[in-house]
Amino acid sequence: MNKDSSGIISDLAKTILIGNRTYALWMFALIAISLIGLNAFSRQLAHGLYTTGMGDEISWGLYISNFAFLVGMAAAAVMMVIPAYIFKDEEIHKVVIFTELWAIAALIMCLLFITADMGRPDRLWHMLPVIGVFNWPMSMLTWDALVLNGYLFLNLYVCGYVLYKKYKGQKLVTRHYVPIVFLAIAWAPLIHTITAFLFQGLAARPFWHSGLIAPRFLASAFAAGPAFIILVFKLMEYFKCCTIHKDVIAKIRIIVTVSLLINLLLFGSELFTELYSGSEHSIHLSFLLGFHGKSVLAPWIWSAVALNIIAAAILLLPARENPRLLNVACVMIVVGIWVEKGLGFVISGFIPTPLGDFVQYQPTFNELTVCFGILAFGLLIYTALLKIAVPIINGQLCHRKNSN
Amino acid sequence: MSTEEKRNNEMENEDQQQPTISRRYFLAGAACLSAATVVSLSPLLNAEEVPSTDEFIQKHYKQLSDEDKKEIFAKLEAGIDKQYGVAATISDTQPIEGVEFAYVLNLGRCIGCRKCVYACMNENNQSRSPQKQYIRVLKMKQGTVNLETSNHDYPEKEASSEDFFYMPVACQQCREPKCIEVCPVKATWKEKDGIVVVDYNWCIGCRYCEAACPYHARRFNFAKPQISAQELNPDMGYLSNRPRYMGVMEKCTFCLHKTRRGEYPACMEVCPTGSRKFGNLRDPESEVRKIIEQERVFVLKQEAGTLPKFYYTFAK
Amino acid sequence: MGKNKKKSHFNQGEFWKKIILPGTGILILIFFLWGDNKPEIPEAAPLNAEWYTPETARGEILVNTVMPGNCFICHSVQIPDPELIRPQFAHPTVKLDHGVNDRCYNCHHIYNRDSLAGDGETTIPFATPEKLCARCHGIIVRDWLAGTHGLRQGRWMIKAGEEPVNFTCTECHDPHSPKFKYKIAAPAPTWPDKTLRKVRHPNDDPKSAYLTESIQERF
Repeated sequence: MNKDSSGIISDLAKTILIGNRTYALWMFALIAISLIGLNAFSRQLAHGLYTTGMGDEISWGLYISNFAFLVGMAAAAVMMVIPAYIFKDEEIHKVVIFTELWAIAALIMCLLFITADMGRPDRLWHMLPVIGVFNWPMSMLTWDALVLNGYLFLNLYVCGYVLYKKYKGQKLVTRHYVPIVFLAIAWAPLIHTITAFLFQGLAARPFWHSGLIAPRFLASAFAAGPAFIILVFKLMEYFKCCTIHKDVIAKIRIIVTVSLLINLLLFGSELFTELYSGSEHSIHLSFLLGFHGKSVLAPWIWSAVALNIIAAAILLLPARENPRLLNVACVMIVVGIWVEKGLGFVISGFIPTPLGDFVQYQPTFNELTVCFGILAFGLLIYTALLKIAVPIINGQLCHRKNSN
Repeated sequence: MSTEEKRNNEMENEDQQQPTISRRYFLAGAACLSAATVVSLSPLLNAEEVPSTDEFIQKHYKQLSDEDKKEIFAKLEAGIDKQYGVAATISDTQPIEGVEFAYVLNLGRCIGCRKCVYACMNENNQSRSPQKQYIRVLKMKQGTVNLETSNHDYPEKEASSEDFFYMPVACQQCREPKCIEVCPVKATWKEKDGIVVVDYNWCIGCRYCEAACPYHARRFNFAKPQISAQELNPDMGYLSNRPRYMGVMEKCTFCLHKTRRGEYPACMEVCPTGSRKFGNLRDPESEVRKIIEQERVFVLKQEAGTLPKFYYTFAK
Repeated sequence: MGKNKKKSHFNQGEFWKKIILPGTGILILIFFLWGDNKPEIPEAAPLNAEWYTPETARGEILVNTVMPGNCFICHSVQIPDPELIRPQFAHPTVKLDHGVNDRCYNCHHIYNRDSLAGDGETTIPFATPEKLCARCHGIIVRDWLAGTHGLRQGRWMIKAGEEPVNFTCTECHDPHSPKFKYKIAAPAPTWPDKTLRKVRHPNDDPKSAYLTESIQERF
């Protein structure tokens, strides 16, 4: 057994450590950026969140924005799992593991962003059930902690099981993992819904206090997540890691298109309700859009709306068959939804404050560095996971061969 | 990336030779990685606040026994003496049975002089830089109570203008405080006398309560709070005005170290116009109770459903 | 850098020399140069004691203070004019601004200058001005007696044998000009320099909120 596990570890270590020049450079760059982020984070630990652009008026900034976005990216993996396991799509089934791995990486980034946002990360143990005080079920944040860690665990289990069995060359036992997959399918919308509830349950912030937030979060996540997956698959094809069937991309594209249209519809509905009624509460939205004098966020949100609309147009026109244009549309969707959800949703909930004070958000360099560090670290983990998963799925890396 | 892999594997099959990494380079790389990691953590050497082991393992306020409290208070007092050279006393006054505090503010009288703001700072040891103030005085236009058109920055000379009215806002000590519901670790709670307090040693600094407050009543210590020894008020309450830590939330506590001894809060005592009234809501003879019964009072943002115990009135 | 020591088709040693070693060096250099970089927080000026010292709204404004001494020295020779509006001779600083109550002898007793005027010929001593004020401002004096009007200091929970710290009408209001003219005011809050905050125009039109139609113009 001992020999066995050391064999696995050396196999995995070798797989991760050995690659070509492009891979080495990419990993080197990611590690370097992660370390620069770590350096910025330790500066933040030393001098407090004053090193960020946040203040009492805008008390959540880029960290929570990225968190909200990445929870969606993690939840979006389910849009591959559903066709693979429920509709038994063979082609998608072959590559579904790559999206589940993405969910793991995205969740790790989420947890890191939450940690970075804490004023006292040394006291995070206060949140541990039993040892600390866990305000469950009252606080949505405790729900979020539960569902995020639960989803991380489910995905780790499924990916770990599938990869281990394939590595060992054993047959997958359906009852050992498919029930977990179905649980994860139910769980995925939950993580994003609860993240939306985190915001929409607050009557103090009229901009967030809308029943449409959870559906909007889901729709935008199911557009941005699969769009990112398309880009990953295309990159994997480009680097000849594996062959992705044409139908797979086409199917994901349909998911992206439908989700994006629903997202635009919900956004438009929100826009109409707020602006047509012209109630006091519409001030957040109209300030965000730049109708009340200078708003730093206005150019961002307008470009996000433009990106989303143009991407939707590309996806609806026959031009979508052009792989290059499809790539462009996917990048536009990921960027557009990141801006819409992060800057447009999280931050503008704070402008104006409940007492009508207009403060704008401007992240500091240190804060941006922490964000890039965490994103780089997430990509590092995803790349490493893919580096292991690809040869195992392709049958190039297996126990039998290596133990000789 | 995996092109290599494939080729490697092909090579393997042919040559029975595995791609390897030399031990030398592996160890050297690991050394580089650890060196860079250690150096990247160097700003921690100048950390402004490092919790002691005792502070790190300290339990929630409600789980502390009387002996624990005694020990903790003595340590805190010693720490304050060491840092500021001030002999402070930390009290832990408990709520008085049958007392529920309420506040009434007469907008018809307030002249917006902001003395309450600074009396509060003087009493409660808030950080002077970056400045933390619990009370925000809004200069409001005629014909509206629209907060978005209020002016928070009016200069001193624009106080007591007859063309405007002034509305001081601080923690409303709600009966249904949304801030305590959302706290993931119950670091903030409502005491028996209705005061919402924060355990500065338990707060994890997630700022969810700040987002949930409809009155912008909470303040977060983004930086290490700075206050000079001369300005430090040595009469301290554990749950109110003792020096705060970096990265924790704080808020108005109706000066509970004073009011639980039967005194008036600082903001009320300093008000030159008598716009502020404070007292026990459960006592039918108290001033606040009489005003609420006799005058037309309103609460701010009633639609938020927080049921504040801070009432406003436009009485003469 | 842990990951980049891989040998396959490219030269490990070369990669080590060209990328990892200089890369690590540059990284460590960045950490050293960026250093601690503590954000600058300016020292705060100490609070002005004037901003938090309790006092009544009448404060130390001496313009309209009542003259001390015996009023009969002058007023015994003068024949009082019941219609007198403007204080004369020795009272140039007294400016009567009490609304429709614009006769000196509405409040001051016309024959007894050491007292205030009560009903009919009765007098009210200066020590209890509320009795005079009550003649017109009954409701407010009732509130004041109930403790709901006026300034209180000291304790909300009165101990046995203790008197509340209360203030009479004239301790806060200048009887000749009862509207508050309190001049001591404290400054607006401050924000760190990094905060992008919109400061409202200090002289904005007080009536603009209900005079303008469009929501845009309010901001």
